[in-house]
Amino acid sequence: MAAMVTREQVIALAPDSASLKSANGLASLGKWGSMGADVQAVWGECKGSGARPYQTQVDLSELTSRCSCPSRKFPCKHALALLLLYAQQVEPLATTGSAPQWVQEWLAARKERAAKKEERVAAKAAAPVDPKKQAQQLAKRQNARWKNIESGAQELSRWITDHFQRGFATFDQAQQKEGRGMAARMVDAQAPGLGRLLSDALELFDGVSQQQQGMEKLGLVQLLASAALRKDALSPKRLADVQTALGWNWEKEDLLGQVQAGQGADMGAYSLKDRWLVLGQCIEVRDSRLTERRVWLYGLQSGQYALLLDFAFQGKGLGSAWASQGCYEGTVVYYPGSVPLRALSLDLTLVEFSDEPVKWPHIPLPQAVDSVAQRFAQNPWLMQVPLLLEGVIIRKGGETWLAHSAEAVFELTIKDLSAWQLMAYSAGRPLALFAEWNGRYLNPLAASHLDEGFKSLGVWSYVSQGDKA
Amino acid sequence: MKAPWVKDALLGVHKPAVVWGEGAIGQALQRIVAQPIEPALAFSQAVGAWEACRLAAVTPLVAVDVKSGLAPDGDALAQFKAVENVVNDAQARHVLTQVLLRNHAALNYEAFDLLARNDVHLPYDLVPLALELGQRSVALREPLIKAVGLLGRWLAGLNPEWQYAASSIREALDDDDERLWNEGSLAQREAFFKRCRQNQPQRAAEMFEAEVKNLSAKERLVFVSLMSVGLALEDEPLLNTLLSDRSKEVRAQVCMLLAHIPGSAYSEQVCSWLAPLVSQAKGTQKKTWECSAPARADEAWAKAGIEVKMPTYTDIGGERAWLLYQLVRLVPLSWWHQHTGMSVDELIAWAQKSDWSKALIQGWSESATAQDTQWICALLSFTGKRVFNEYAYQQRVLALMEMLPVEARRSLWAQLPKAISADERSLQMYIEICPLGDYLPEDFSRMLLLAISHHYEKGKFKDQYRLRESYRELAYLFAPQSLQVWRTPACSVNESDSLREWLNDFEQIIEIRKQLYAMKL
Repeated sequence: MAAMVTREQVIALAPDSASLKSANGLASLGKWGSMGADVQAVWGECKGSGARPYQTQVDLSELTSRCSCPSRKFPCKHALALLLLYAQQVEPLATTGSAPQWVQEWLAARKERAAKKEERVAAKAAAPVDPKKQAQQLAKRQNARWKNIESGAQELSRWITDHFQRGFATFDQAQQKEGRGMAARMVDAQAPGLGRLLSDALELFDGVSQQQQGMEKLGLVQLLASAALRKDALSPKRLADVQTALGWNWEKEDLLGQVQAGQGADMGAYSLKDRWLVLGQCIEVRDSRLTERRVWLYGLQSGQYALLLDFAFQGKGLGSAWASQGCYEGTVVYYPGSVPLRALSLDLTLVEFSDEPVKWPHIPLPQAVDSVAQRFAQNPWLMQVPLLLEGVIIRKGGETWLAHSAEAVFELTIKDLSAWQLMAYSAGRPLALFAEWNGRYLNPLAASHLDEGFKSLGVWSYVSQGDKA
Repeated sequence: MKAPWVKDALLGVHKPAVVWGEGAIGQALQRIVAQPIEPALAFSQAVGAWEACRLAAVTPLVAVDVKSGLAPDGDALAQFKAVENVVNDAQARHVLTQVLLRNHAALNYEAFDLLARNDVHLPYDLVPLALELGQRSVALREPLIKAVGLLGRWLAGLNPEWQYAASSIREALDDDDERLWNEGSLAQREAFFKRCRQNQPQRAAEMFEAEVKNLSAKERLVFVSLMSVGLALEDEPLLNTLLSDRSKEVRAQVCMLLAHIPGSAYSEQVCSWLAPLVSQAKGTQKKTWECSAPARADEAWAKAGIEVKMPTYTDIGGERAWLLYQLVRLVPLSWWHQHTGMSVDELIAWAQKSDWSKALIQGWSESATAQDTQWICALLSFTGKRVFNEYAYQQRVLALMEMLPVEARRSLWAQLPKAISADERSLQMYIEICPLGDYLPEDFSRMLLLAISHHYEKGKFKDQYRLRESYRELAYLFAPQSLQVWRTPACSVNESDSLREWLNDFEQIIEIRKQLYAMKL
């Protein structure tokens, strides 16, 4: 049986680092009573502190799990440990067995629920709809939201203007606190994106050294608020950029419907079929509750990047895991906007994964930097853009980690231990480095040696979990 | 670098700004600030536009000092590519990751040692973690440096905190190269000096004498202690000069060394001070011996390193006992046979009846050297619980056991089964003296593993928290060949959550160790 789940995929599923640590402790055969796997699922009985072992099962098609333990985390440490063992292909998980009754019952129940859901969707689709009425309802909802956003944007714009008028020399903790209140107000105004940008800007005022950066970010927030207030003058693509930056989520069904009906082009939404390489991924935990996962794909034929963005609240359900350096085939649909980056997977399926890395794209540095510049030029509110650098040497400069290329030096944002791992992987030789560039720092996600000699080392990649230096 | 608008932004904007920037950017900013709106609003929008331009310009750091440190250690890496045998098997990598995450000294040592013995190296992603562990534990370093391979030694050279594993001096020089003494780290000098004392003790003594003025008290103590290797009469002149060393610790160590050089003037003098205090009892027909303590200190004693003033923290007894104890610890144990004609066991029995038993037993315990195996075993059999407080007893026993050769030490493990449910203190002591990389004898390990399972089922670990903790530690010390006999015990009578939790952890340690030895290397 081929190893379709990798250790990295399992790590990416973990709701937090504590769960992963506990799962590592449980990932030994001695902890498990009976266990087994077939093509559909993997299951096992884990000894816990209770008298009866916990029954843990994972549906391999979606990596969804269920466990009889009382944990409120999802997946729990037992499911993660079971998957870790499965990823190693340890006996008895390496051979196909027959599922016990409790696993069969769960899988059958899942199938039944999925069938019912499909029926409901089909029934909904088949139900007669009045397009005019539907459009009216949608327009009414959107108008109400814009009204809310405009009110919030006006308030925020006033607040920023007042502070530029007053001067930032006296901007202290009291003002920061006031700013945080304003950020919370933006959530009420249905513009959470404005709130997030404002919070990020406020953090930069913690010390004097980043004061200028803080003011620059406030300037960008001001631009966004101003754009929201003159939305009618914006082009469809620009409007989509502003909506995305404001935190306006697009309903997947609406987006698919529009693209399939050929109506998304003027907003920059379109679909693209390709063979996609997962170049890197990271998980960021915000406010200790909201987990954001970013999976970066690269179309091997089109040369386009696509960003799959997922969110989970309180560690629950990030959806399917993506294998770093895995190759997926199928179509992605780009969200509206000037820069096609964020996308949703329509039907991507893993077609290739092996220990030997898939050859990385060859992008000369000037071209890579130029494409980053183009993206930011078109949309300054992007949180980060992908950057693939060739011929980079990793080194430590004082307290910071640097990626040196022949033309430029980039500062990394990375924890020390991860940086030393990257350094060990590089063995002092030039690397190809895949990272996210946020305008100031690189967040490295994967690296590869271009010459054949180091292939046995594989590709350095890790799933950073809020891994900021 | 500060942007041209920062000063205005800090002080406050009350009038339209003077435009910053040239060319197309300058024109764009001009349009923004020229809007018929509040100056501060226009200014903040212009700052936003400035930031948007900066983002689009992609401004990495200025390339500074690009060349220094960029060139990798070409030869080492070529060698690395050619010869390094790195753990590649996914299961083996997982086991090693688990070992390092568990982070227990004995388990880490076992894994590194296993890799070193098989000439296999850690995968690159575990190398930094291993080097960090070595930074905190000197005892791990020997197998660790082998396990991290050339890659790890190269990496260590780039981090000042990992210099202990750096390849520079270590690989450039062979073990006998005197440059190790002149240029190496303290650990390297220590190892070199020890080797030199074993092979050419006089050369080592001369090197130390020439260097002594440049050494700190801590370093002097290290090298003086190492003079015990190959100690001979020829060392007496050097040691005599060190009797006036500035450091009290160094002087105390020198006294111990001089006392143990057979035929040294110092040793003979101390023996002559003790002799009158150990005398035959008068008026009895049977030849019996009695011991008395000095009434006061001789004036010459202070010069010989004997502390006349009793410290406040000792529990040896009063001032007289304190003086006696110091004389006893400076007299070689062989003197007692020659002087009294008694055997070791007779002397121990005699001391127990003496009024000065504490001073005698403690003095003998400290006078013992690794060669005095018979004395050490006899002293260990004297439990001393009536004489010493618990801490002093443990310290004395530990010090004695550490002096025993490993084989002799192992035979003492046989005492353990008696302690399985009662005496966690003894158990803990045995664990403490087990050197890293050493294990319990195989037969004994098997017996203990079976006994633990049996005791668990009988509920004998209930409420025995300290004992359980000791056994958890012991799980790292069972002989590797014995681990297969472990069987999970049936549910214990009185089984509690914490008991079950302990058993789970105990089993996990056993399981990881079993997997270590099953790794495909």
